Amino acid sequence: MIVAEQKKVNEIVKMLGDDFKQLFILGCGSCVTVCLAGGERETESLAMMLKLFFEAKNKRKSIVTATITRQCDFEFIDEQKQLIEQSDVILSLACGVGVQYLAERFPQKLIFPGLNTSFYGANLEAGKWAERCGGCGECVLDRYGGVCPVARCSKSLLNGPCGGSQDGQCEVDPEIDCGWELIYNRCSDLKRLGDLIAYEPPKNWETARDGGPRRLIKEEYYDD
Amino acid sequence: MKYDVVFVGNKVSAPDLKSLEIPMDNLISCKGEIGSFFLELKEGQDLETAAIIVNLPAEKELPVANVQDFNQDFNLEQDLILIQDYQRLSSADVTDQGLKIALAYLQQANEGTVIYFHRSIRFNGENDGLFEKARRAGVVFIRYQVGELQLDPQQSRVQLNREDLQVNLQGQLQLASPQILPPIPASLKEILRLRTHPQGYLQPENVYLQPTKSSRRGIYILGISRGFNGNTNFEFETEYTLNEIRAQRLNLAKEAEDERIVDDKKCILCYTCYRICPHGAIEEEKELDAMQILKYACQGCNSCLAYCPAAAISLSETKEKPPKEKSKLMLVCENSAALALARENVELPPNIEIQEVPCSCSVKKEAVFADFLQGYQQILLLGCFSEACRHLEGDRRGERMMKQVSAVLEDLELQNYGGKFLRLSPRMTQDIKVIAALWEEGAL
Repeated sequence: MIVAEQKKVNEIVKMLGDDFKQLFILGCGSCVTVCLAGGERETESLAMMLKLFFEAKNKRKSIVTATITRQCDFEFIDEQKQLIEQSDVILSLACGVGVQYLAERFPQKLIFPGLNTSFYGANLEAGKWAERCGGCGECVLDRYGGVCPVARCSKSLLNGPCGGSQDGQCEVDPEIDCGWELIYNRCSDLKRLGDLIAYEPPKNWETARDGGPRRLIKEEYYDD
Repeated sequence: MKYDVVFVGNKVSAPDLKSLEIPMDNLISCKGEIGSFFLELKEGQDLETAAIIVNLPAEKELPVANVQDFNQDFNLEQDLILIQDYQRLSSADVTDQGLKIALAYLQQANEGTVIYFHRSIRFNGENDGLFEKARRAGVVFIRYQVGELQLDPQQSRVQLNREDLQVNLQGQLQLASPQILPPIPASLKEILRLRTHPQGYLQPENVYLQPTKSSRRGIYILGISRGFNGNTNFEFETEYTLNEIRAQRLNLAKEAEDERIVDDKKCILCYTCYRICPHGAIEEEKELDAMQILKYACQGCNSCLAYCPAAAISLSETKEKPPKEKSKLMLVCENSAALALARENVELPPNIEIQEVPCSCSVKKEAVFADFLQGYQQILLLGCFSEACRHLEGDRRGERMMKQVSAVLEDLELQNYGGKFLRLSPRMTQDIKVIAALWEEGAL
């Protein structure tokens, strides 16, 4: 799941500026609802805060809200056409995908991000998430005991740990578990340490962000 | 077939109840609620039971090798030295054992002394009387602190180095093993979905969970897995628990008056409510593809309503809020401050509006801002005192929520508004009077 967190409300106020009559806050009902950043509750909550702010500053602003199933699918976005067109500014509480897709569908509108998109992560417990995938485009988990060297090692090392691993913790931040310690322990538990002996040639990072913006086309949907 | 009670660990005798004993490692999952729990087992058939009792044996281990544990197998030719609470405090039933051993020795021995080292004599049942009797019979009680006592089991010697007293004694040593925490695997807590004590026991410290209730209605904890004093009143607590189960078999009533409804079209199965419900009262309903609130397990705290990120949970009946004409709003928990206010007829300054909430945890951040928008400038949330929140952690949740509100007010430089959380002490009425007066003066 995409994990995001809401921007600080004063940052949002600054971003919105003063040059609008109606603000439309649009929540997203998928990943960012699950990670408690941009669902209906957060959308309503932010609307209340902003209403109070503008009222206290004696500024007449109209604030409307909605939360749609997904902001990464245009059918859902288009359902909000009327409100979007009526409003001067749209604040999207989706990940960066939603914000941009809104802007693409409504090129004349000013679309602002209400969230900071953080990572692809798992929910560890209520209110706690951690990164688990780097989206590199070519999964290597089969060779590393199911622990990703790209996402879990701060340096994305593929052939063993660096010298900065201390007591299982990473030198980048002692709160981070050393990815390689995790890889080693898991392979050891699974009796697959042999997997780690093979030399891993340099990874082709073209499938990752380094190859530029990525596209994906499912062949069965298209002719050549 | 449905059982009245399933024992995880050791069974206790209850011939009138249809019961079954299962080893703790056998349990895979526990779904459902009081009256109808569904247990999935590793071996054998899955089963249904109305109640569950966890009764794990205490591990006994002496902290010093070659010493005898407390028992009546003493040698009358030698003086008896009893040592209770060597490193860890023991429960009251250990005091009970120790006193009985001391008295039995003195009764049988013609001459001979009993020295009883202790850090704390703990009372329950007849311990009071036994302690008195032992003192009259001549048992010498010596109190010590951790680190003041040295044991030499090879030489049968004890040395005490207390600031005011140094003694070096020889005799037969008996050392009470503390009742050590039973091996409670983390998986059992997860399977039963219990809120636990910070030290790992299965019962958090909370007045509402006395004596053997767990955070999940219908699951009871007996013995040492309950916590420090779990063995102290074992028989009484067993009887109480079995009677509860018997009573509920005859008449199982809901605890929450009103009903909470999950809108299955809005629920996105994020499991937030499942994770935060302090009573384990929420489960996925596979057929509806939505969460559902279990009606007998629900205690009505409304934390699910407050936390649902999709706003999918609502009350079947919502109360109309009165129009706001006052500048201050005091949110009072129906389990503490509201009771105190009602009981003692406390007069509060006229500009304070009182609003009752089911629990501090039920107050939504957005509702606080909505109240500001309605005209209140100061909002004060009064939470229960620690370990007396009926919903176990509602006070802490309310405190965190109000902290967020204050942070936002500060970020937005809205100095005219204020949100605050205060925790009451057991002297609630007095607290409220003082708080209201300070609030009025602007000194909060």
